[in-house]
Amino acid sequence: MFWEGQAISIVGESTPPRNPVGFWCPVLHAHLPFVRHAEHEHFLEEDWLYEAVIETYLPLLRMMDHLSRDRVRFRLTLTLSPPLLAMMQDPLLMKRTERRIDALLRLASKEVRRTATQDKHLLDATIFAEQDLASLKELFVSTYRRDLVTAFSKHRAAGSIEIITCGATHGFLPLMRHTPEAVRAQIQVATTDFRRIFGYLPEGIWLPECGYFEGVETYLAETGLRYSFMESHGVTDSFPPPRFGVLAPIMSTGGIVFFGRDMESSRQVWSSEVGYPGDPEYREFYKDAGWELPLKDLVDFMKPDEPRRPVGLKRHRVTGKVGQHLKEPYVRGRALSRVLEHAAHFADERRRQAARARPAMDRPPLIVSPYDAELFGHWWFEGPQFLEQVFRNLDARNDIIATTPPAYLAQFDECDVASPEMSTWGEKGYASVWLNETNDWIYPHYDAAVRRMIRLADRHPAATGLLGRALNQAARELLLAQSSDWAFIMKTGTMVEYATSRVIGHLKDFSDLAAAIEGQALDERMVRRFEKAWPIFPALDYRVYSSSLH
Amino acid sequence: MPKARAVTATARKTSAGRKKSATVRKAAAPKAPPKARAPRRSTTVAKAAPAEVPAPETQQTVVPPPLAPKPPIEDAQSQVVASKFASAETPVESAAPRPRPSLPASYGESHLLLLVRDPQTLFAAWDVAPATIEALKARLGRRGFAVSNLTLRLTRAGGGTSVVHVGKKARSRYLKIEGGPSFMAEVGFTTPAGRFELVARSAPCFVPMGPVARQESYEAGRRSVLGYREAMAVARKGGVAQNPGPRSVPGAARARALSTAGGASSAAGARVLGGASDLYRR
Repeated sequence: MFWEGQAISIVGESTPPRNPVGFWCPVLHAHLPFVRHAEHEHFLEEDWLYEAVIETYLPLLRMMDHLSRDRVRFRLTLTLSPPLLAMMQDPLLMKRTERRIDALLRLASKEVRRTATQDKHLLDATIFAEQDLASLKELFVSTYRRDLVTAFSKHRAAGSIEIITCGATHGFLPLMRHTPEAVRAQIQVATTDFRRIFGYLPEGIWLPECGYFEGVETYLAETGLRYSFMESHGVTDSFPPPRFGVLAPIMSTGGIVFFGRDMESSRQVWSSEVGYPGDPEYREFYKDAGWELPLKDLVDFMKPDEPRRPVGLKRHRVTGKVGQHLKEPYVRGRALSRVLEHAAHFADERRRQAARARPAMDRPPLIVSPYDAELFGHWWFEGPQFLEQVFRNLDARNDIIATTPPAYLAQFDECDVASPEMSTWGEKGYASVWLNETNDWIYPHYDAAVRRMIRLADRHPAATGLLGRALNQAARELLLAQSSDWAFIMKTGTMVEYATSRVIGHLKDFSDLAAAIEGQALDERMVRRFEKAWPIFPALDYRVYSSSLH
Repeated sequence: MPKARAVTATARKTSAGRKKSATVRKAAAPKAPPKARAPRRSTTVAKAAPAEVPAPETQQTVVPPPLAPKPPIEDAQSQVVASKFASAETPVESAAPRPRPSLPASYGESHLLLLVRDPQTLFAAWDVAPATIEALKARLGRRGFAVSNLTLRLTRAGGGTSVVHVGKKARSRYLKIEGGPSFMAEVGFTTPAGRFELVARSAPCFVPMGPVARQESYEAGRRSVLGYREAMAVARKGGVAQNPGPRSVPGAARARALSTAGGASSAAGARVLGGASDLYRR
């Protein structure tokens, strides 16, 4: 609704030229760890999901709807990780998401009344927030009927987005390299789950944390995966170094095509320092009504004895490098003007970048820009509108063509063959984010659990009934423990207690199940309790851990 | 106003490793406490020992302290990703899923885990089975065992072996390394007579070296280690083009420049092209 009168008018989707200046391949990686705690009416960490749905997934879908409605050609590659898909398909969590939208709407309405006589600018910002929430609720409940997976699938069916998978629980593969069964389980469980949900096998995969190691191709190829993505130095440090760096995909000696991340386009969006999101007109992430309003107004979000936390009602702009108390009210119109400028700048930079490289290449350069999906909307509120305007800009000029890996490979089928080395998109480019003094204690426990799971799978090659369920649940607990998010959270220091309790809890549940299986003392109630607690991967087959598969 | 968000940073790097200035965009938050470090353990190092990074005390305990110290988020990307998990200013225990159990200090089997953190650092963690210790005591005598040193040996493929003596209660170590591409570690006890009693051996691990070092390694005949053979075997099995070898290696700097500055080189060199769509359409 905010774009009426501002959007570039497009009457029909344009046909891309055969030999454009270049290609742009935006990749959004949408992932959250599995946070479902049905046993609690309100559970703090479920907020992660509500915030992501309200601030990112719904606005992204709205963006796609706008582009489709206006017949603007857009192409986007989207990772939907298995835990996120499981949560998106969970009726309880989606109901709770709606409850959160309702609570925010009530709070916004109350704030509209309160600010009506106080501050006109703050009132305008609050009215905008209320209208935006109402629009999102309409989309979520009436248009999508709380089914985000189907909503994304429709855009996939229209050929606009390419949905790919990720590791089963976003396990960090380079640190599992020594146990092939663990790597295989992450890949195979993910692809099996993807097929169960979408009805087809994914062709691409986002390696968790963009974590590549030499040999991971074996596991990708055996599940039918054809392409993935790699941090820029993973490509440029390949042997032999590819001719075009990251501006063309490479095929690893393991037979998988890898698309290298372009750092120039990444930096412009990721960085709040030199990138767009830090513009003073954009909405401030940290200044939230949850920190400021009387607790009696926040009863839908937190109990009086709980520490304050953000609730998602934000009405101020970045303003500048000033204290939170000096942040000024958000002015939507000014922010949208900046979006148009930044989108045009981003598109022009891609044109310049491609034009610079084009004469020395035998094909148009491909600029691959991967981002965390939650960067758009959650972290950078105007991010979805920015993406929308970039697509509109590119489509109007028709010189840089938005594309997906399959579409690109269908046109350019020759890649340099190279042997890449370990790389990730984490700080310093390797594994130090997920392996350091804050989180290294988890790895010996992971390792012991994986070895025990392999022994169990080997000892019971054809278990059915309760034993089969227990083995499947043991595998499920192990996978859930291995989410890279826990190590990341321990490193960054937010919600460490929760991450620690999840790792230990899953490993303890695994250990209890394994002991019961080994001691032939299975208790159906125990198995049922664990199954009920973590309803994910219904088609999981524990034999994925069998060493005989190697 | 939020007061303790871990968004402060004094320096930050992009994931491509470029250092940037480091003021933080949105938060006016105090600095996070410094990382806890345990005092360096006394060790005896022999024969070109790798530089040792001391393990903090948390590695010695099975269950870490409830709240680990909050380190700064140093790069822009991590800062953004961390915002996904920023539900609360401080960790909240009110909704913990269940009482937190503990994990065993030992799994009763001798094992050595060797992980690659980055091109300069490995992480080794080990478990020595009580039965192994009893067997060693029986063989060496209680006094002989008491004066033996728990020893970590790190061997580089095609290179030498480094030896680190560690405290008997130690369970993990970071190891500084040079070169590569592959390493293997052993943990055991060194007797007073200098004999090494092996307890466990790690799987080989493979360290990223970068293209120049890899070419040098290759040309020196040391590239034919397991990692490369594995890759070739995969290529053969899958019918994909072979790695062309070192003949067609153009300068690494050129590829980097291309990627970062957008300039492309037309020097193709002799190389193998893979039919992506052939593979893709299979």
